[in-house]
Parts: sequence; C-alpha cells; structure tokens
Amino acid sequence: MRKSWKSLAIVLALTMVMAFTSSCKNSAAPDESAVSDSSAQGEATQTAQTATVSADKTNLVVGGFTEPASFDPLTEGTNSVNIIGLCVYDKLYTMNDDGSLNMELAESVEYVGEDGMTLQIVVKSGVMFHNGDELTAEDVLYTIQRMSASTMYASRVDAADFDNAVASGYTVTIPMKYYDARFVTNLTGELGNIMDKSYVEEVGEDAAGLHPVGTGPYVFDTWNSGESVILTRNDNYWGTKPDFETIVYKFFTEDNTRELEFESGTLDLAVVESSDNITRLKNGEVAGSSIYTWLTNKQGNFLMNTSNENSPFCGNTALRLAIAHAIDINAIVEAIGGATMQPATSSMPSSSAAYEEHVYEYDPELAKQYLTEAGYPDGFSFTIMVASNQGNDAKMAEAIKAYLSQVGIDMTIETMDLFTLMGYQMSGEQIAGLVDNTIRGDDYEIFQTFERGSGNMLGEIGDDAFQELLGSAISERDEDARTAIFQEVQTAIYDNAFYIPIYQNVGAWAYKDYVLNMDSDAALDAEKVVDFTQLSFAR
Amino acid sequence: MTRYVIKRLLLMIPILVGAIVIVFTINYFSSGSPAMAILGTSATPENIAKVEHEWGLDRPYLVQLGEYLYHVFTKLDLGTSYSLKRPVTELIGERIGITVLLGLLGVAVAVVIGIPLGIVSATRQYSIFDYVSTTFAVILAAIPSFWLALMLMLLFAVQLQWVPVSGLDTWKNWILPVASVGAFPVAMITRMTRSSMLEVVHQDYIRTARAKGLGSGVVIFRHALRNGMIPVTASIGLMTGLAMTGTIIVETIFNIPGLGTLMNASINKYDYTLTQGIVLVCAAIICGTNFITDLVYALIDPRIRAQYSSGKRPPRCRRQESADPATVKCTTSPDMLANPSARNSTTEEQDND
Repeated sequence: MRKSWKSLAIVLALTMVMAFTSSCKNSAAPDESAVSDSSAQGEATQTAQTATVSADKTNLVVGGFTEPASFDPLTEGTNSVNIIGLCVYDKLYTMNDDGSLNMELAESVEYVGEDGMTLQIVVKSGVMFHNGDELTAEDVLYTIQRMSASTMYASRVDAADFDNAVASGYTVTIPMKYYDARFVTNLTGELGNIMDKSYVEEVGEDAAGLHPVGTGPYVFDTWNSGESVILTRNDNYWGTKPDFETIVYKFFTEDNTRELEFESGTLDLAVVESSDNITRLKNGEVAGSSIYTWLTNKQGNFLMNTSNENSPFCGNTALRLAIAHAIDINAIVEAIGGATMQPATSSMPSSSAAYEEHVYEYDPELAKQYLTEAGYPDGFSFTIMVASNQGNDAKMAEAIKAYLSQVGIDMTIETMDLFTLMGYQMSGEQIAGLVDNTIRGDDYEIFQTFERGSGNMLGEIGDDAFQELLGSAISERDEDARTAIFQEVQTAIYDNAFYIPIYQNVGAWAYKDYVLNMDSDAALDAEKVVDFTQLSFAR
Repeated sequence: MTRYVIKRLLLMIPILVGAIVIVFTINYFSSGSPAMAILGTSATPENIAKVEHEWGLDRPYLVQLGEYLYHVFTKLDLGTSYSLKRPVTELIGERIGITVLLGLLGVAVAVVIGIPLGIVSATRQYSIFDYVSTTFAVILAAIPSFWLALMLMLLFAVQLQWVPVSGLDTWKNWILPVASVGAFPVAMITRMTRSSMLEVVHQDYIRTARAKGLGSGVVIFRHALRNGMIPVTASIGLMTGLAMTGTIIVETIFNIPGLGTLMNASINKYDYTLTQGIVLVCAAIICGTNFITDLVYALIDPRIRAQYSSGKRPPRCRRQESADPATVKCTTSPDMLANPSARNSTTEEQDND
C-alpha cells in the first residue's frame, strides 16, 4: 500500500515538473531552425493585420536598457542616455546618410577667416529651454567647452582655442589651433546635445545630470530610481511636435523579463537583445507585434599586437594573414551571435559613406602557406586575453581557437573581467584580444583605437605608413578626398591584416503593430538607439 | 537576560568589522580599478591616474581601510558611490525598504504555508498528504529561484495574465516575487516542522496527554506544537535574514528596484564603495535577525531563559543506553530537573524522519 502511495507521489511530482516545462516551451522556446537570418538589416517583420489604438491612448511605454548613473551627455555613452537625450535635448545639427549636415538648432556652421581656421556657428533665435531660458550662443560654447574638462572627451575638442572663443548673441566663433575634420561631425552624437549654461551653473553638473533641461520635444518630468523615467511633451517646442503626450521609459536589466513584459501587452516598444527573442519575434510568435532590425555601427574585431616587439604578430604580416584565412568568420558569427550580429565585411561598418567590402576567404590551406611564409611551418602558440563579462567574447574566442587548431595554431584563452583586461591592454602585455568599436560621431571613431597614442597598446598599429594615412583623415578638409582616405585605410588594414573584423552588431526593437514609422528614420546607426519623437500610433 | 542582550549586541561589532575588512580587502587587491569603470573603455593611463588621485584610490591600503572604518563607525558614513556620485547611505536608504519587505513577505508566506503542511504531515505520517507535501517540499528546495521566477512569470503573467510581469506598480506585482523568494523557505519550514513535530509527538508527555483523554487538537496545538516550534523558530529566523539579503536574482528578474539590483549594478560598475556598503548592510541584517532569533528562542524555550536568568551554562544532555539501538535517550542534569521552569526538558530523539 505504502509503495503505491509513493509511486503516486512520484507521478504527481513529475506531472508538476512537466507542466512547468511545457508552459516554458509553449511560450518562450525559440525556433532553433531560424536562429540566423542574413536579411536582418533595416528590416521590419510585420504581421498581416493592421492594428489601431483608441484615440485616448497618448502615452508611449517603452521597455528600455539599463538605468544610467546620470543623463549628462558627458556620461560615458550608454543607450539610455542617448535615447532620453534625443527626446530632451536638441543638437546643432545631425548627419544625413550621405555625410552632409542637417541643421537643427544651428542656422549655419562653417569655417571662416582667411586661413579658414575659425569655426563659426550661428544658432536659431527664439528657441527656449524647458525652464524658460532662451537658447543663446553662450549655451552652445559652454556645451562644447565642457568637453575640454572631461577626462574622457577632452581630446575631441583639443583643436579648439577656447581662450579666444567668443559667444555673442546667437553667434559662436571658435578659433582652431589646428584643423581637425572630426570637430564638427563629432557634435552630431550625444556630445552635441545643447545644455542650458545658466541652469547647469545654478544647480551644479551632478544635479543637472539627474534632471536634464534641454530644448527638445520632451520635458524631463520624473526619474523613479530603479524603475523608469517619465517625459512629457514640450508644447512650446520650436520644431514639429511629437505624437505622444508622455513617454514612460522603463529600465530593464534582463532581456527575458523585458520581452515577457512586452508580450503581456504592457509595453508598446521594447529593445530586444537576445538572439532567441529576436528570432521568436521574427517568426511571428508574438501576436500583434513586429520587430525592426538593422545593422548598427558597432563592430567587433580580433586584434593582434603589432606594436610590442615581443608579440609574434609584430612585423609579421604573413602570420596575421594566416590567422585571417584560418577563421571561418561566417560560421563563428552565426553560431555565437545568432540574430544579434552579422559577419563584418570590412573594417568600416556598412552604413559608412566610405565603406568598401573586404572579406577574407576561409581557406585553411592558404592559411598554412602563410604560416610557412611567416616562419612557422609547424604552427605556433600564443595567448588571447578576453573579458569574461563582455558579451560573447569568451565564446567567440573558443570558436576561433577551434578553427586555429585546424591549421596548427595553438591559442590559449585567458579570461578575466573587463577592467583587469584593460590594464593589460594599456601596458601592451596583451598579445591578442577581441575589441569592439562604435561610431558615435565622425567615421574616424572606428579607427581611434588603432591610432598612435590611443592608450590601447593592443590596438595601436605599429606601422608608420598606416599611422600617416590615419593622420591624413583628420587633417583633410575635402569630404570626397576624406572618403578616399578612409577607403585607403580599409585596403591597408585588409592587405596587412592589422586586425580582423569579425562582426557587426544588429539593433533590434520589438513594437506593437499600432506603432507607426518604426523604420530607418527612427533607428540610429550608433548602438541600438531609436528616436521616439519620430514614432506615432495608428488610431 | 539584559546581560545576554548586551553580550549579543557587542558580539555584532567584530562580525561587522570582519565583514568590512574582508570585502574591502578583496576589492582593494582585485586588479581592476574603479577609475577604469568611471572613465570607460576609452580611458588612458594618465586619465586613470588622475581619477584615482581625485578619489583617493592611490593611497596605501591601511590608510584607506582605516579611514573607511572610522567613517562607518563614527559617522555612519558609507562613502560616496563612484558610479552614481551620491552618498551610499542615501542610495541604500532608497531601496532597502523594498528588499526587506520582499524578504519578510516571502518568509511570512513560507510560515503560513510551511508550518501547517509540516504539522499535518507529521500527524498523518506516511499518508498520501505526507507524501505529497514532502515531495512538494523537496521540489521547491531543489528548484533554482531564477528558473522558478521565470516559470511563474511565463505561466501566471504571460499566459494566464493574472498578475503583472515585472515592476512594483500595484500589490499584484508583489505576488510572483514573494512566491519566488518564499519557495525555498516553504520547503525548509515544511521539512523542519514535520521532523520536529514527529520528534515531539512520540514523547512520553504527549502519550500521557492522549492517555488522559485530551482531544487530538488540544494535544497537538497546546502540548506538541509549543515544543515542536522551538527549532522551527530558529530556522525561520535564519531564513528571514537570508531571504532579505538573498534577493539579487529575484529582484533582477522581476525588475524590482531593491538592494539586489543595486548590488548587481554596483558589481558590474566596479563601484567598490557601493558594494561594500550593501554587503555591510546585509551583514547587519543577518546579525540583526540572528539576534532577534536568539531573543525569541530565549523567550519561548524555558531552558535558555533559565540559563541566562541564573547566569549558568545550559545543562548538558547525558546519553543513556536504550533498548532500541535506533533510539537515544537524553535527560538533563539533576540541577535542571530541580528547576520548575525547566519542565518538559526530557527529550527523546527518534529517527522518525
């Protein structure tokens, strides 16, 4: 009798476990057959029906990224800062796809004077900050000059001679110590969000970062610590007024939680960060929802130390080419990144005006020939250091190791946390690693890690001709000539395999079918940022 | 009793100092620098050195540790967060209420469910109810909290839509996190209550009570439960401390702005001062709950109360040979038996479980 009770209890227990497991499968399990989708760029996967919301729904509820420490534009670029910044602040200008400038707060931006070494910016009159202050040239100069006091961003405005800069009425003139082609374009990123000088000076920089005041289409209303930020529409906005009366931007650290919240219907829009969730949404497994995916400016690269003489890669092009041809980048990216990344096809992201395709063929035999040429016919060993807490780096290193072992290269993997790794990067002790770069302003930013003096001794490319070429991209004034230089840089990187571009990140946002205009106008190239002011509801 | 309270309070000081020293030392000697976290991946060595100097991170270990201890114990100042640039006490103050409430509710639910389950299991040993509740307790004890939290979320929030997925907007938002936090304590309390009650219900005084013709309810609730709850009370106290300090995963999954998510963020950002502050507060919570448990223990167990009232050590259990090798009988010393407040002190450990 007792045995039969025991059996019954065991059956009951198993039933409970199976019930939980089946509920998991029904609602969350991805379709593994569709993990990779090569047509992910700038693509909306929509369901057939047209959805609408009632006219009284005027608030957009967003499942966003993690909570930042501050919304000061000078805080190290986090996606939440960039997204909220797009709503609260305005920039002087933004950049069009062809590299030209689209004026916002600025009426004009040009280099003036006989030597063309003075930057003159004229701003619109009558534009008001949310607190009622009028935008003046002083605010613009203050915003740009603030960068010079920042340990992170001072190098971006190094060319400016602020001692002789003048802000008068609506015109700012900044003499330049030397010409830097990046100066103007760098202000198209979040660093160009124009702040109210008198407000920041009155409340202090820290307080201004906790409650930002700008001229943008939304007013920063409330920050519920650990939960959300609430923005309300700026009814006195100088430009086109946005659709939503309020935006509730909720912070999430867990992608699954955010996705389940979206699925339950409480979010109108949500960032999607995991491959499984991107695939589920693309497969139409979440009713009434769609997903927009696009290739961002973030690229991941396999770096080999070319500046440390103790590195086997220093001065040995054939050895670097051997590595480049021994790795099947497509297979690695598909296996590790799934729907969150695409194989990189050049050292510049595909959205850059100067982009040219340069792809290393996966050819183990060619890799072996290069190894012999490099003086290692029987293979060789080296160590790669990767961050254990940085995305998929550790997994990617494992996959690369497997491919290299097929041509006789023994790569040892040392994992550590990111900030410990940075110490090795700075000292030049790191022989190989995985580093990602993003463009947030000027296209040159994608190569910044590789310039001499960058501080990243793993990334610094120890080749004088290449450094000279990079330098010319900074001093060149003509846009077409600059594009040509960037193309030369890409060719030089490919020919010499200074580093190996591995992947380009995919941005992905899920949205309910009643959210309109979720397209390339709303999605920003940099990171995974969406401009909510471009969106509206179908009513 | 007062002497006992003071002694216990004083003992908390070295425990807290020890916790601070251990965490501070681990943070100090780990190779990453908070300056790197503040400046980001584009930091240069010069910038890192500048920030380290500004924050006093370039001073010797003992100087930094001494200063930290001095500020903690003289001014209750836990420093300033490197990443959030706000006082750590302020940040913890904003979030500790949610975490403590979550832990307390989790344990309260566990008590409400676990004790009745344990009592019924013990009084109906080897019944279907006993098997089901024991199996239920084993499953709850074995399920990792992050998995349980996600499954609860999928089932009750997404599929059935009975409760919200995350956040803390309404009272309904608390249901799933509390269930996730309370799952392990439910299992522990059920098992502890069952084994403790089994031990008690087989004792002579319970048999005597039954022989006197007392009803089953009176025997269980008036005579057995009082003694059976003594070890359960101790475990509830310990679990309360652990539940309040161990909610990192549950808070992260349910997007709850408590100490757990703050701790998670501080570790990711290398925010040493914030991590230290939270660990210190967690250590204080554990010490506090243990202290309260000890007081409650003394209040409900006359042997402990008697020990501290008389200032003497507790009586030692003397093992006696029993006819049954599986049964060991213990009796208290004669002086304890002479004390009227120490009645019911004879216990019998029987391998019933």
